[in-house]
Parts: sequence; C-alpha cells; structure tokens
Amino acid sequence: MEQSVLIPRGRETLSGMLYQPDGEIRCGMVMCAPLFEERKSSHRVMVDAARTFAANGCAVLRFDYCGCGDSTGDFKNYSCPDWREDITCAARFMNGQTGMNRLGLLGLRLGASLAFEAARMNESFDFTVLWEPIIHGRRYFDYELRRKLIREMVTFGQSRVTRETLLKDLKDGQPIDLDGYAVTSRLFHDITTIDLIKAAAQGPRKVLLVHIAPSGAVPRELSALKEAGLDGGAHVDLISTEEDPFWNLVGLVECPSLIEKTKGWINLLTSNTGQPLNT
Amino acid sequence: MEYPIHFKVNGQALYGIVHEPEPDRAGPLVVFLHGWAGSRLGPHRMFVHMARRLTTRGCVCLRFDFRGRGDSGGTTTDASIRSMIADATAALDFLLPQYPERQVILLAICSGCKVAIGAAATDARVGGLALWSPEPMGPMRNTSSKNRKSLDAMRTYGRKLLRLETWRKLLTFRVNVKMVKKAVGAREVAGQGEISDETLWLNQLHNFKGRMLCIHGTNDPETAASKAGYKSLCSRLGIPQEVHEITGANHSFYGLDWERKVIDLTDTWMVSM
Repeated sequence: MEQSVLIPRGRETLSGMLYQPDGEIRCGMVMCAPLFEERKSSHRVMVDAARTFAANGCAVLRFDYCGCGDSTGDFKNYSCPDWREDITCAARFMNGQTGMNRLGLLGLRLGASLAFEAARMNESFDFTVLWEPIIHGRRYFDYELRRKLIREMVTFGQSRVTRETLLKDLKDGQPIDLDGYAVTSRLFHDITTIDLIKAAAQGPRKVLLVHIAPSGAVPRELSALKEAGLDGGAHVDLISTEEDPFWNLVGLVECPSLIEKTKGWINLLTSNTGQPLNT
Repeated sequence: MEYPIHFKVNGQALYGIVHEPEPDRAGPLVVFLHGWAGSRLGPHRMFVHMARRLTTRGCVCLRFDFRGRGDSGGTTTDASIRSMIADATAALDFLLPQYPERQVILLAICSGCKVAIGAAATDARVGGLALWSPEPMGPMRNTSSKNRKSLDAMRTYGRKLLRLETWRKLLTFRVNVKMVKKAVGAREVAGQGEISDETLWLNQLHNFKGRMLCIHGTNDPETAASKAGYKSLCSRLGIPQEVHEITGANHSFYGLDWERKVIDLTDTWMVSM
C-alpha cells in the first residue's frame, strides 16, 4: 500500500510517501534523497526501490527535506544539520505509523552522507545503506563547480564567472547560484566539511556501501571508508553494481541490479536472526 | 494551504499536491504539466515556487506526476504524450468539480507543452495555456529537436570528461568514437505516428477559445523554430498570444535570475486573466 503523508516538523511540514508491505513487516527503512537536481534525476529509481523493498516486507518512507521537493520552506534557509534532523523526524514518524521500533536508513549521494551522519548520531538506526555516498564534501563541491562552469561554456561559449569568484562570493557570505539553487555560505561550509572516512571510527554499526558505475574498479576512497568502518568495529560490506550514474542523467533509467543487490543484503541481515535488526 | 491528493486513471494512482489560497480568494485553477522525464516539482523546483506565488494571488494550483513518472503508478516505458493527455484530462475531472466557477489554465514546460496543447485541443474546459520552453510540434519540427538532443549529448560527454575513468579509456583507445559522433551529430527522427498526432492536435486547436503565453530562453536551441511556429499557429487560429524571451536562459531556465523572470512574467500574465 502506498500513501502520501505529511510529517510535522516544527513550523515546517515534510512531504513524503509511505510504502507498507501487504503482509508482515520485517523491517523499516527511511530513504534519504540526494540534493539539487540529483534528486530529480534519481526520483524514479528511488520510487522503484521503495516499491521493491515494500513488496519484500520492508516498510519504506521516502520524504523531502525542509526547503526541498514538496516540503515547505525555502531551500536557502536550511543546511545539512537541519536535514539530518529531518531524517530523525521522519524516522519517528515512521515508527508511529508502522510500529517498527528499529529502522534502517538508505541514502544516495549527499543523502547517503546525511544518512551516515544521522545514523552516527543516533544509534537506534539498525542498518545504513549508502548508495555512492559523497565521502569528501570538498571534492564533491569542486566537481559541482566545474560542472557549472562547463555547462556555461557549452551554453554561452565561455564561463560567465570563475571558480575563484564563486568561492570568494561564498567566503563573503553571498549565496551562489548552482543550477537554480541558492547555495549559501552555511551550506557550502557544511558540505565541504563532510569527511566520512574521518568520522567512520564512530560511524554506524551495520553498513552496506554500494559503488554504482557502468565499469571500472571500486574507487580507492570507498575502500578506505570500508576499512575505516571495519577499524572502528563496524560490520561493513562493499559491493559494486554495473549501472549508469542515474542521479546525473537527463533521461529515465532503471536500475534492477542495484535494487536487487540491496534487497538481498537486507534479506540476509533480517533473516540471520529472524528478529528485528540489532537484537 | 498545501495537501497531497491522488486520483486514478485506468486503475493506476496519480499523486499530486493541491495548493489552495485563503478562502474567498478568486483566481484561476492552474494545473501544472511537467516535462517528459520530470516530475511535479519542475526543474530546480520551479513549479513549487510558481504554485506558491500563484496561491497568494488567489489561484488554486494542482501539481501532479503523470503515470510512469515521479511518485505515480504505471511503468516508465508505457508513458506517452497520449497517456499524459489522458492524465491531464483526468486531473481536471478530479479537481474541477470542487472549483466549478474557476477558469482552467494549463501551465506546462518542455514536453508538457505538447500535453497542454493536446488537452486544450480536445477539452473545452481549458481557458488558457502558459507554455515554458514549448517544443516544436508536428510541422514545426525541423532541425531544432536534433539541435537539442545534440546539446544534451554534448553535456553528457562534457560531464564524462571530468571523470578519471573517461581519460583512462581515451588514453587506451577504448572510447567508441563512432557512437559519440552518432550521439552528438546524428539527426533525431521523430516517429511518423508522433508527428501525425501532433499535427492533429494543432489542427484541433481551433476549438480552443483561450489565450496563450509562451516563454523561451534565448540559449535554447529550439527557441527560433518554436517561437516562429507558435506565433504562426496563434495568428492563423486567432489565439491571443503573449511571447517573452529570457535573455541568456537555457531550455530549463537553470538559474535563479531566469527562474525569477519566468515566474514574474507568468504571474503578471495570470493576473491579467
């Protein structure tokens, strides 16, 4: 069963979709979407995944952070700590709706980084699935700036601004325009200080890392994140799936392998004990 | 006030959001129609921003996902412009009985504009069309679609150039040059059925008695053909048309200033309705 839901969050309201299994609920999951236009490009894959997991006995809540998607609020007024709180708020809501005390998180790209942090700060989350997480925020932001400049070169024949100008604006407290989103100095700071490897020693306890690419080896930093988690005593699995980076594509794609592999991992985790996770 | 709704078409649920103004505020009922691979948010959430602005003007707004898109039921591959027109009509069937006195405006972007034209051609309830980056249809199509597809392909390859793996492939001659050339340079051929459908809807548009707003970006490769095509169409059918170009803007208005201009222009036009 699928239904639209509204989640009270202080003076804002988060908008979401709840997917409940027809039969027994084996586990629950809150999905954490990426930001900017990656949210748009990945939307349908996240919906497909939610439906597949729900059909497999896992109740799923997809939702929009404050100032994003259908939720209330202005994007420029919010940043990573607020969105981490949104995840906790969504989890509380889901607990109330489904009666599931123990929930997992699944995030994509920046949503995965937020999920990682939310799970790190709240041990009640049982498992964390990270689809192609942003491990180093600074590198991610540099990549986004390069992309913006290339897009301008394609559109105008030259970039209208330089990377240095954009960074200076942010340093001076001026928001910059990233594909129609106002990135504030606060958001810039919060994104560029993301360092999951550094945080992994006190990171979540049961983690699935998923590398998504049409070809090529697992990036070194993803392996390093796994090692850092293991060193911290966590259970960390790292898998690859040969699929397109759907969060970056203009058209619609399906990712059956990614969804099936993730479903398999959740099944294994839940069937090992026959009990809710973390028991 | 904003609240989620759903309605069904052929047994499949379509999900959306209704934006309601303060009670007793008069204004049109605006139904948003998203692009081919988009959702009810519109690019960079501009449908949400537009709907919230229009609600302050007294408009009732509905943003919904077509079947096979966004949160809605149905499969991705089954969606077509025809199915989207049926969805748009079903949206009116769902919401209009609650607001029978309100004039209906369809606000669309990109491929959603084809849906709006198709719905307006066949549904007398439609009283206005606000079209953002409308694509050329039927006989208007020439090389413009090819230009945009090539640009999309160039963007994709531009992004790939940022990846280490791409450079590895280039240096080891593992890039399929033929395929890249084909993607960037090949002519997109529209299906004959698609073109004849579009031609039919354009011909049926003489039934439409409302007004049309068109907003284009000057950096959208389709603007020239589209602007000329819709101008000629409105002139031939006697449809009052207002046209604006946003200097520098691309197809989906990916910039805060461009988005603001599109919203201001649409707001002003809507108030004049």
